Amino acid sequence: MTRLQRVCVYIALIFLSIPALLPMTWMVSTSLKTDKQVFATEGKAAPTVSLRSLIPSPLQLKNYPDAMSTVPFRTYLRNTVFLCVVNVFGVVLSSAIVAYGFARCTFVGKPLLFIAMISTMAVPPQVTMVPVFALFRALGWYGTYLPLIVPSFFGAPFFIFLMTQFFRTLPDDMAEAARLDGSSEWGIFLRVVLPLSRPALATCAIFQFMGTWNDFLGPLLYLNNPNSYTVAYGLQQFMSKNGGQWTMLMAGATVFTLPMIVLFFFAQKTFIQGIATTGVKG
Amino acid sequence: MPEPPVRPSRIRKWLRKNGTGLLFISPWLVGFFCFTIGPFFSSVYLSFNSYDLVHRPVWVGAANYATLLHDDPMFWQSLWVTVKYAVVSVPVGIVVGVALAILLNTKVKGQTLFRTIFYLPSIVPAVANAVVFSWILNPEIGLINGILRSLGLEGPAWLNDPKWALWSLMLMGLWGVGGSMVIYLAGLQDIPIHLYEAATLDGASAYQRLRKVTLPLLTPVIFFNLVMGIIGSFQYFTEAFIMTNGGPEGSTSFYALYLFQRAWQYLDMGYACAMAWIVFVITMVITGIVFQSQKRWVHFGH
Amino acid sequence: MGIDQSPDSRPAWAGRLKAAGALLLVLAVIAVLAPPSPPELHHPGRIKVIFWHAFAGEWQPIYEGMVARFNASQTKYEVVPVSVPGDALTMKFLLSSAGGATPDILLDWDPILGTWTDKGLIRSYDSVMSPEERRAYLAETYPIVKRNSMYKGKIMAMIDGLDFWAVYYRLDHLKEVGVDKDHLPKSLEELVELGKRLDRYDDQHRLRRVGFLPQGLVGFAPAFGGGFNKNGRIVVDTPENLRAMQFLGQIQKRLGYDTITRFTSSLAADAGPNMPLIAGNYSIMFDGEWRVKQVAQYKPDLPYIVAPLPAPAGGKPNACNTAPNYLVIPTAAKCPKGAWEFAKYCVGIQHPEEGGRHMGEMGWVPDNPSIARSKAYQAYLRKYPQYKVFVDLMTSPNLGMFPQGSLQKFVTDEISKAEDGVLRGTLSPENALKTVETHLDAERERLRKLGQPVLEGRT
Repeated sequence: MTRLQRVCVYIALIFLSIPALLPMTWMVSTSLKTDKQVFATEGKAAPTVSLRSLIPSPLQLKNYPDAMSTVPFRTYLRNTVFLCVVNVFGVVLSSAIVAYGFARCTFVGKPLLFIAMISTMAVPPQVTMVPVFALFRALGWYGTYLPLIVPSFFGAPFFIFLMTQFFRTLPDDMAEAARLDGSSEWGIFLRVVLPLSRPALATCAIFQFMGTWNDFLGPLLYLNNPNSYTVAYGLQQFMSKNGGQWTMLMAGATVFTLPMIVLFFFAQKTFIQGIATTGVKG
Repeated sequence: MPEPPVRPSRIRKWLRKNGTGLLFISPWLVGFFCFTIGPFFSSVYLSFNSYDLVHRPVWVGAANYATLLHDDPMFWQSLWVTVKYAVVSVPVGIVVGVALAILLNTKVKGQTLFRTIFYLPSIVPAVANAVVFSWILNPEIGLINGILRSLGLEGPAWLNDPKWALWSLMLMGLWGVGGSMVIYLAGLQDIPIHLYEAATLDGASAYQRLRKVTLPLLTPVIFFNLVMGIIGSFQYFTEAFIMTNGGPEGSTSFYALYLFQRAWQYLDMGYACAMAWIVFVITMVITGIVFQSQKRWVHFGH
Repeated sequence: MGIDQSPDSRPAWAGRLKAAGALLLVLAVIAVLAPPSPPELHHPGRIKVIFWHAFAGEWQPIYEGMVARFNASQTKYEVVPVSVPGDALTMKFLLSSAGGATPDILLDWDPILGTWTDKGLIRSYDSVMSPEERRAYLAETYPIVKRNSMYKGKIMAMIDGLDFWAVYYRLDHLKEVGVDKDHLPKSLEELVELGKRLDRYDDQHRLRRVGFLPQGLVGFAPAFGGGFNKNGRIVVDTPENLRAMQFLGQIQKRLGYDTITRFTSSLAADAGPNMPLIAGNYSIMFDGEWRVKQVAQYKPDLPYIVAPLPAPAGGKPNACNTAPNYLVIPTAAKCPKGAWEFAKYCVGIQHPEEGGRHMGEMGWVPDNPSIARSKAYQAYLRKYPQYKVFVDLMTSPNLGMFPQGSLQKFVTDEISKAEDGVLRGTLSPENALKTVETHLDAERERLRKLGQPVLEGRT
């Protein structure tokens, strides 16, 4: 890259960072304000939103303890982390296996099955909720974590589709060499394809983590014990009664979001270790 | 001619040809038959019934479909709103997502930080995001109208104006592009460096490398995001539900919103199932066309 | 074997070991985090009564405190409260009903009674009350509470909190135009005139304060003698409702829809220490009884007074809509008797002191006069004297109700769309109400064609 190009890239990145940072900055800044600093009062206009109004003064830290004390945050957090770990593990593993089948193996009816898999995503979930609920209830899973865990061990179409796309782009010759060495398909999957697909696996892991972290409907429909609820459920609960107090809501939302930011910041290192750095020549 | 009796070796041959693949996809197959297909067929069945979630479904033939197509203006309106949204937001989302990913893939200092920054909007929970954008788009004290005012213009009432509400939601959608951006980024990591090196040796400019190497090798993920974007727009729900609930004057009455209303608020699940299967067919026809076209533009490494 | 091309290729067992290690790690994390199912019951051996409600935040401990008092008050049942986010409660209940796993009792504040009764989702209290209890309920309960709790002649709900509306005046604003609390408007027309004098603009001609901004057809219809239930049918297009709609449309037109939208969008939402009444965004507000307690909590020295809505010319005094919290027993409840015992305790039947304490803690009006007379409730009224206006409204003959019947949600949505059109000026009040009726008829016709019985209204 020339020096000029590099400068241009920097300018573009910094310029675009402003809108990208806006929602999060706003969320955090509002969580540090009082209602009076946000809305119109007694014949005065509300402060028109400007970049300067994002800096709260004076700082209102009280929203945080207030927000945290309204829900049993620690119980919810433990439940959520449990669900996230199990689901990420289950979904990434099972989806990768299935995706390898679609991307690298030949079998009868493959195109049809692939379309069938994609098509399961095109059915609006609102209409399958009742039969799915009835099914889980018939299995005796209502009121337990099982409906929120078990399905993820059978692969998620979104991730299967995504990983299939990735696996198909991998160069063939390494797998071919392994095959000549007498490696089984399973061995190729485990020792050739998986290590090369770390970016895709990390992407899926992050998406699933966020999906479980944000999932509010699943716990709502299947859990009945207040002690087994999750943070997303807590946020929604918090929202429904404190709907008017945006400053507190934003404090709750900030606490809710923080773990995901940290996770992403560290996980995305994996993206950089693609083929580019493992030194593999196709 | 009678079929020759099946010999064990034929089964073995069939298994050798198909067994491994089927074994690999078996987790999904099992899940599909256990958890997915039953509910699907039951919702197809319900679409030919009058079903209020409580009483036994009553068979009504194609009446739900007939009413939808002939006597329900809301059905057509919501379909139109959804198509408008899809036609604008899917291509724009792809272009923006790819551009950001390429930008973030250049080797610059602070790459990690920038990637996190651009992904941040996707992490903000939907309820908080709704509040943030109701402020950004607030007609009186909002950021956008504040900027317009400093230029001497008075902006519209955005989410409160039937002419602008849908555009406001499309604009909001741009902040959610981080998800697909991450997928493109992951895709960019898979492009072997030697291809770039070869292109550079051939004297290709940065633009030519982008056109001849980067974009073609990114097509499988672009294809993925295109298909998911189409499916996603027909199920677009959360933001519209929280922020406009279909208003003002029906300008954001998305299909999924209307379906939800029929199913869970008016307790008309049979009707909602019919709506679901109509949109299923539409989505699958479009997806099918996209799949057909992939031979022409989607490039796989081998 | 395998990937000899890769510079960092290691023997296969190393990879296997790594995979096994990762697996072990994941299992360990799961084992550590796996949530032990905590004991739900505090009183094993009692009959469980599952109770879903939507109180969260500061209200949850207050409400569940009452549940705990119930559990301590007897030895047969244990009520297990589950707080479900308000927007989602209805959906969770419908799904659990379709799947056959309902709670024993639940509290919902959406207008659902007609639909849920007609669909057979909830059972009548008649089946769990003793004849004596039923007689006492009908004899002692305030008429408006009874009307809200009954549907088609059956007692379908207990009312745990009934919302009323009255006018809140900011006395400091009224003073600016020389009006004091002894000279409040005597008619709705006077109220509107007073409101006009209280509008304030800033130097850029932006609306900064609105004197009086009436919105909500269902809320204002009773003052014009209107309503939405007649002879067991939902009605919308009546001369009285039309007058109410015209009234709302006119005020909107005077200020301009766009101006109002811009003004209202800059206000804090309606709860919290900066709600519009306290912030002084409006001088006069037609609002619910819960504001009295909120003002006392957030700004005890706010100079304000509450009074019933004055009648428009030819209209009705002391009129407003009423909005109940329904305590209902699902048809599939496993323990309806226990649900009834709890409901009685909740709304203070046979327990006036407990009822008085509960209604006072929640800031609600009492269901019957003996609760109103209880020591606990009288103490509450002494603490919040303005609240008495709402207790007095209980006996007004001019109280309205939401549309009732299977189509109540449909028609409520249609009415708000119609009102939106009128306020925007895109629909005339006449056309707006006609449109609602047309859509309602089309919906009835559609359901008839599908063979779904259209049940509506109370007889």
